[in-house]
Amino acid sequence: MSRLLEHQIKSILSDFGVSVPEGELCLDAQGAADVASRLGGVVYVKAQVRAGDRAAVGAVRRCEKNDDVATVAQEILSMDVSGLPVEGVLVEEAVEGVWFGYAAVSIAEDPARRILRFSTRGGAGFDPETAEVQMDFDDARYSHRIRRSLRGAGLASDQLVSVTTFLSSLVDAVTKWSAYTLEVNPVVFGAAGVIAVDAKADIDDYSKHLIPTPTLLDVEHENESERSASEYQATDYRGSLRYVQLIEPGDEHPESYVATHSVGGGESMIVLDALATVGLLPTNYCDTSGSPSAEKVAFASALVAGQPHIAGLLFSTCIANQRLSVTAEGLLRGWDEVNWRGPTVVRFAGNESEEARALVSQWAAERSAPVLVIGEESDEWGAASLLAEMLENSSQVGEVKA
Amino acid sequence: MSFLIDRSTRVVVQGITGQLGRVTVRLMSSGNLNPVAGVTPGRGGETVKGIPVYDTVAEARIEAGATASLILVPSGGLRDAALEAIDEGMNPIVLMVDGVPLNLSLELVTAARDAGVTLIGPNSPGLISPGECLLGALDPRRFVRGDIAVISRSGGMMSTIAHTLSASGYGASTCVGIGGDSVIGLDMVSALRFADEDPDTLAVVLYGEIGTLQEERVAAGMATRASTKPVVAYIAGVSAPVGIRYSHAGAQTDGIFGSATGKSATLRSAGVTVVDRYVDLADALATLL
Repeated sequence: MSRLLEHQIKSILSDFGVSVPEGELCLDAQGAADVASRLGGVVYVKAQVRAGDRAAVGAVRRCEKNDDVATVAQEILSMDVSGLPVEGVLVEEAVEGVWFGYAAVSIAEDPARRILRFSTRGGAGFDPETAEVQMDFDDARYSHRIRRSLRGAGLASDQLVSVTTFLSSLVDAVTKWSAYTLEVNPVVFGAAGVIAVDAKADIDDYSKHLIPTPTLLDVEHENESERSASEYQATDYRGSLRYVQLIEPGDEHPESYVATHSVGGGESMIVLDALATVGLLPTNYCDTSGSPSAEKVAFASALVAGQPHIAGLLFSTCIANQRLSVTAEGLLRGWDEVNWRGPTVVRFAGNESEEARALVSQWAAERSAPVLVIGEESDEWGAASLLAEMLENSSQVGEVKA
Repeated sequence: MSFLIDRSTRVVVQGITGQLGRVTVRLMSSGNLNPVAGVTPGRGGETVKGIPVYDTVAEARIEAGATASLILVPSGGLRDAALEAIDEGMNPIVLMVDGVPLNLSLELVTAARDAGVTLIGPNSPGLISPGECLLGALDPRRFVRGDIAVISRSGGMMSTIAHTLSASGYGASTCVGIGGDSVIGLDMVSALRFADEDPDTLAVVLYGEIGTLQEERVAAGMATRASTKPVVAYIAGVSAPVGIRYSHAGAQTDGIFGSATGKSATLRSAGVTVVDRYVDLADALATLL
């Protein structure tokens, strides 16, 4: 799933008729000061970042009329929140209200379904489980059922229609945008009616082609390798390719930095765990499974082995049904493309694993490459240990990766 | 010695004439676990490796006696195929398709629930009762008949774990890959309930990973004796950085809920034996059986 920025969600909510505070997205401090001046009065300066708990780390700040908004905005713009960069600030008017409540649609388990929750209590630390209104999403498609629930929870008559309209809009937005979660907290009721003061949303990546503005899911700070892998996957549906950059290239290239490439979603995660037990740090996550073509594996392999900051590489498969000789062919093609000759452990298990091992062994022998090829007689933890030993030995004899 | 499927289950493969359909039939045939029929609208009257192809699931049910469906059609035709299988009372129904949009997953899961049908998936590798029935793209040679249930959120790891257990002498009653998405039909808790009710299943092995609250709900159920049998679990993703979506759509955590460390601790406190490496699952079973 992909998390949207607050200003993006508010734009979406506005399209569905939901009122939001007057404000503007600013990408620099002076712009923020100008917007605050135009709005007049008390404003909030809010980090636009794809992480929660912004207020707890000072990334949402209230500014009185004569405060130095530019300085506040500059401080926020230079922050990271939970390791994620601030992509701008939203400068908004402060909103008064009779109550500051909570509204959300989210996925529940047992059974799997969406649930609409609403409360006239909200704000930081609010527990959604205590919301007065909790109804199945399918019921919430009918306005009269929302009204009935709100009245049952004691909502005043003069607030009933506007809150119902707001919640119905929320339901429509969730459906149209294939949201896992759409949360408005707080939602304020005041003289101007219902206003969505803060909001967050997680959108289903698999629905990207179905939502009104697919480009909103293209994260601006996405790593170039991640972007290219995603684009490749979008044009070649034979099997799956998932690449995530865990450690960006930098000035430091410690010997503990290693690349990973696996077959299987679960396998890829296990490899991360196995490397951690021997003190190696995976710079990436890469899974090519579901019978991908050799071309697709080669593309991924070049991304993995082409990382400039890796000291070694671990390739491992679960017991896979896909033809591993085809996978091996792609793997080697990618390595040749980026001239990878560093310390490597390759572990094949599954269909045509013997043929795959033979291909890699022959490739390594022809190039005198330090590649150790093993099979399912060893496990992921054993493979990780072997790679750690190879790195230790290569550093002792002064070898360096190509 | 199985649950969900057994020797009497008669499988129809929807999408049998596609490439994946043919590969899957070959895998099923390699274990003498052939489907009784295939369905591809417009291709009725053909055969795939001797398996008759029908235009509708109704014909496969009436003429070939199909009772359960494996759906391999691409996502564009998935809704139509799945609702047809539900309408015809196929049970269980396996959705192997990956990348199913959220709204469609919710619609199909709800439709199956309303019809009283067990839907497995989306993004499921299928399920197998070794020697009895196969409903998925699994290599039957990796599975040995026995009395251990394997319930897994990963397809590849289900095969890997079942094979690893068999090397230590533990065969499987039923292995079910429930799917890696966050919205699925049969979840870990429900699958555990089926395993618990199967008199020939002696113990259960769970493969879990980060994301969703399935393992936490298993733990809550254990506290109220939802399972009367020994449960052994392995949870992957202890070292996976938070906030990232990996291959499985359900394997995503914000670090507060659904972490591997938290799941392991919660399961242990409920009496589940949790191992740090899946290769230790057999040893853990040995201490319990």
